[in-house]
Amino acid sequence: MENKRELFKQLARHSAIGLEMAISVVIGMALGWWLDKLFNTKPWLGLAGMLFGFAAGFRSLFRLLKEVRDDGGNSPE
Amino acid sequence: MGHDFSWVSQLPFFDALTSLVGGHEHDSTAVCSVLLVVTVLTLFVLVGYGRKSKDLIPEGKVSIKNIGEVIVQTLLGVLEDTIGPEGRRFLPLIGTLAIYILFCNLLGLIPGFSPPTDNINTTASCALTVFFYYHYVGIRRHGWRYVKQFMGPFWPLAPLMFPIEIISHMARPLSLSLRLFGNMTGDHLVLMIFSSLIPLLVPIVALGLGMFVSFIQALVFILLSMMYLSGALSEEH
Repeated sequence: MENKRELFKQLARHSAIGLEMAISVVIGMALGWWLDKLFNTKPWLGLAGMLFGFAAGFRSLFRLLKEVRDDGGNSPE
Repeated sequence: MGHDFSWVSQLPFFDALTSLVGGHEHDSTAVCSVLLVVTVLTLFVLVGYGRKSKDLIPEGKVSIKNIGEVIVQTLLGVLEDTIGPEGRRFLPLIGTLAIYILFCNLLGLIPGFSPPTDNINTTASCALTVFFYYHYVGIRRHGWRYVKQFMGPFWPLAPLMFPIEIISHMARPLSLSLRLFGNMTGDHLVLMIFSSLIPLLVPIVALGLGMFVSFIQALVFILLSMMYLSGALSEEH
């Protein structure tokens, strides 16, 4: 029972990261496009926003992995 | 996601409800379903608390009070597992979200009803509540240092880290709301298509799947909310 709960927790935690990474890119790009329209610098800020989005996605992944590592508990050492 | 026909529209006070929420005829079924769920849950609570026995000995049979106690016990266990001993503090928020989202999801399995969670407004409002609340908790706990966490460990890199952190935090409520919305919409569509193609026996498979998805998505939503809360509480770096 305790084991199954832990399994579901890990499942939920790790299945969430995919969508979060994808949405990070979308948000970054949307912000970039919006700033492009504001400052009239067509493709550049959009591209930069996309890169920032990628970085944000990997930041989420990094944070998750760090949490999993620090959790200790049932991971070997 | 409005549908042309829903049994909700056959309820006695539907027109009054529709004008109350100010929705168009087409969009208002999900909003009215929300109101229906809230009404049912309120009745549930009132009946549970209105019972005469307030003593420690549980009732001998399956009653609303016992079911409520099992739900609260489970939620408390999950909270303490995920956040730690101070997780009990968040039971009102997490418990409300869990029960509300679960019942909203399950409402979609009754033929003719559309689940309130297949409207993006329902899920986005839940996700935004979580978003603002965990930042509030973080600021309450760490004060100014909470904002400094966004700057990264290394000062010269702060202009680079700040937008990245902002984007990764903005992705959280969006992914929370879109996940629940997408799952419930898809699940409801599958159920609808199966039951319009072969109304006999085959929809049972889709109903079983829908039951599974309803529970899993409610669980995923509250688990992620709890992880965001514990992330805001813990000291990073």
